[in-house]
Amino acid sequence: MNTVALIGFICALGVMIMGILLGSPLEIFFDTTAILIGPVATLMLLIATFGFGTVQSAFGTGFRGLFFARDEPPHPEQVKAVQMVAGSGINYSTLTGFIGGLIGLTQMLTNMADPTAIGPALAVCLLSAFYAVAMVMFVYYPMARNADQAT
Amino acid sequence: MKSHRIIGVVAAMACVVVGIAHGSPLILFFDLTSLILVCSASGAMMAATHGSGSARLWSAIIGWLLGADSDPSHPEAHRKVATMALDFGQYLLLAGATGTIIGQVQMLQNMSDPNAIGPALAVSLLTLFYGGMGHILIAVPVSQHHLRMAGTDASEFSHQGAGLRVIAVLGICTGISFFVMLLAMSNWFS
Repeated sequence: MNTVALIGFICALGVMIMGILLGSPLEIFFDTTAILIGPVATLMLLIATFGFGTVQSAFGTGFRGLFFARDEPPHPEQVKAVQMVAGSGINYSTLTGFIGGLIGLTQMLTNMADPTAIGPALAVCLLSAFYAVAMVMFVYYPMARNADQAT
Repeated sequence: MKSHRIIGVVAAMACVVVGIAHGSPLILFFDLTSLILVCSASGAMMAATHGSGSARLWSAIIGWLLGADSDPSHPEAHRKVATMALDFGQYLLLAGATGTIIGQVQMLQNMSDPNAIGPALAVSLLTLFYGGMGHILIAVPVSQHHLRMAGTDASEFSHQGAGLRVIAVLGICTGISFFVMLLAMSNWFS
């Protein structure tokens, strides 16, 4: 059990949630459209690229590598899979965040006559970027770097 | 003892501070909440990624700033510190970007008062400012120094541009959207 890593991860999440709660309730950061376009589409693209089994074992190995001490060094092929999945995850998250932003912008621009619709469409735009940044920061980047260290 | 490092960092910071003070009061650029959020989030993510080994980075940064001569006989150790400094820079940028989006989404919830929009947007950009300053003043120089001591260059490190790419995406999305929103608010379309 890698206690320092676990505490660090929980602290980082906690700081971000505290930062949100200082100014507003948590639920305005939950948007189904943005979640579908961002993290879920990223996961589907990863499965489409590498296959279900590879993605599942890569996430398992990646998170075990982060938070649990290794008894024996991991299999080189598994480490390679984690590196590939996490590296593609960074790229896909960035791109899906961008696509979500464009979708939100288009929705907003086609509906400029109604001022009350601007807010929700802009939320899709900003929140898909938010999910992209959060997924890279909290999931894919630590996984990728940890797999690099294991080789 | 090499004092050129701390002189360089302080001088670069002074240039920015003078540039700010030239145009506006310095206090506009100080927001304790943003500073705490960026520093603690990126530090905690360093601990999450590198475990207890991340403590070596903090001592390496202080040693570099104070001008301690580092021992070139352990290239592998320098390589490790360089990787950690690189990651620290990426986490600073990512934490800054997260803080900026949090601030902007909160700002959008409170659109009823047009006079409050400007200051709220300014405060939300401060996290990105702190992240970027930490990136260029601390993380990049330390990682370059240790890469040189290790005898390698940064080209063989993967994922080094992740934070910058995310910020580019974020900048395009939010930049266009706020521009359009301000046009809409000023009744430009009607």
